[in-house]
Amino acid sequence: MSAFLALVRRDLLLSFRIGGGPFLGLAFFLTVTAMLPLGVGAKLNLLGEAAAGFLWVAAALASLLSLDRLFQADAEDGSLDQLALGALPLEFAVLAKAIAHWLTTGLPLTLAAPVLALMLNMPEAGYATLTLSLLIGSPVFSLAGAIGAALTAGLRRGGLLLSLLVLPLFVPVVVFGAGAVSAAINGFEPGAAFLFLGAVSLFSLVLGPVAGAAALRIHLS
Amino acid sequence: MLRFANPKKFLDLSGALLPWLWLGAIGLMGWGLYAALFATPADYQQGDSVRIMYIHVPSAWMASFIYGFMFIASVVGLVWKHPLADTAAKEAAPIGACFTAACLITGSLWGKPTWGTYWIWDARLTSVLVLFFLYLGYMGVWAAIEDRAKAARAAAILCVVGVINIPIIRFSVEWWDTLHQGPSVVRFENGKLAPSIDPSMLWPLLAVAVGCTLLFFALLFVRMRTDIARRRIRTLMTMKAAA
Amino acid sequence: MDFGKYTWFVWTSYGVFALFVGGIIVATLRSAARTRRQLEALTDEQGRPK
Repeated sequence: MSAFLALVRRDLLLSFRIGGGPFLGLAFFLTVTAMLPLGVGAKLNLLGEAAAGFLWVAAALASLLSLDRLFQADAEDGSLDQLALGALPLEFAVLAKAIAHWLTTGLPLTLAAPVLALMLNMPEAGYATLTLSLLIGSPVFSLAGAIGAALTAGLRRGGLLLSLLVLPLFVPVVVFGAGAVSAAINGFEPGAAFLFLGAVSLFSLVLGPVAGAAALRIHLS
Repeated sequence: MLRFANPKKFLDLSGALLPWLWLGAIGLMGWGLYAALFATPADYQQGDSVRIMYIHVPSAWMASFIYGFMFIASVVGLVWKHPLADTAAKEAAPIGACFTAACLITGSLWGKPTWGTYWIWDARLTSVLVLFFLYLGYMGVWAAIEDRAKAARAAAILCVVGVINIPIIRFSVEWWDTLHQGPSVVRFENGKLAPSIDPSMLWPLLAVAVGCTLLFFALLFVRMRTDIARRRIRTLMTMKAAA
Repeated sequence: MDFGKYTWFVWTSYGVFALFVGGIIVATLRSAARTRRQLEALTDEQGRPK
């Protein structure tokens, strides 16, 4: 357990010291949100309708940006081999790194989402649901994303391939997440969407570390 | 099954089967497509646009069949570490991607006169589109990783993860589809897959479907034989360079 | 063959089908022929290396 926490702490520290930590992801989130009205026009009712889905898509894209570095730096400097040799099973190492990734991307986006929803004129009924759905669903971006990151670790130009690999895995989260918010806005009970979202999230909690570790072992052998 | 896993045995067997596969594929597809275009009646509801169904439905069937085939080959490759299974999965992917692309485009060409739009975001179309992305990603992994054994295992893991995810994706887009139900869309799902389809339409459809399946195996065997030959060339070149 | 208002759609979709399926057939056969020529240049009639 202490090795697990040490790994989470190390990745958090690294992201703060070299990448600006959570602020870079937030800046990206803010930039694309500013682009949306510029692109589709400043019609408030149009923006309000699209806001929930757009924020979910933006969250998916924002987490993609940092995913290709999830294992890349460790593969390059050899710390990945150290991790594989250590006492901590590789599955848990992948989980620790995914958690650290979520803490620096998914969590800040979740906290910032209501502010951005306000800027996009999203109906107020959806705010709580949006935050809660991102809290439950955004870990999938880090957990399922870890599979793609592990498959492309050690490739020189893995970034584009990575997005092709993980976007199909992101489809269910975006569907249920944005679905929950639009249900809440339209006055329906978002409970069913939350249950599905939770199920997808729990499922990727298992699948991500297992498949990610299997993929990492390929590059280590 | 594993008896044919030896490359030599595979070369013998596939060499013997190939002429029959080609013959069957060309015969069935030739007759089926001719009948589809000229001999079958127009549907009383869909008119002549129903003729697109004779290529669209077999393409859709091939798109999922080939992914299933790749899944089995990937599992065999992962568990028994068999190079021939890896080759089979690798060489099946481009064929599957072609059928998936054909399925999407013919479907949208059928949708324009029937539904009034080239593309609707319904569950079926969306999940086939995601399947197409899965094919592209799978081929991308093979292309990106130079070491063959590593590429095979990475691609196999991706394929297995993809298959685990297909039901979830399917379920999510179906759920989403009921949420976003557009009122203008007329559905013909019964017209497409109803078992009460007239025999004069059923036989050409079956002929094209079976013909496509035979064509897939013919192409797969040719591609696998090419791949084996290519590896042999590499070995010979290395031996020459070393000598 | 004329299919009324569907003529363009029917023929275009058959054309697309022919393009994709024909395309993969041609690509497969061409690469097979090229590889066979390369292998023949390196081996004798019995398939042994030259």
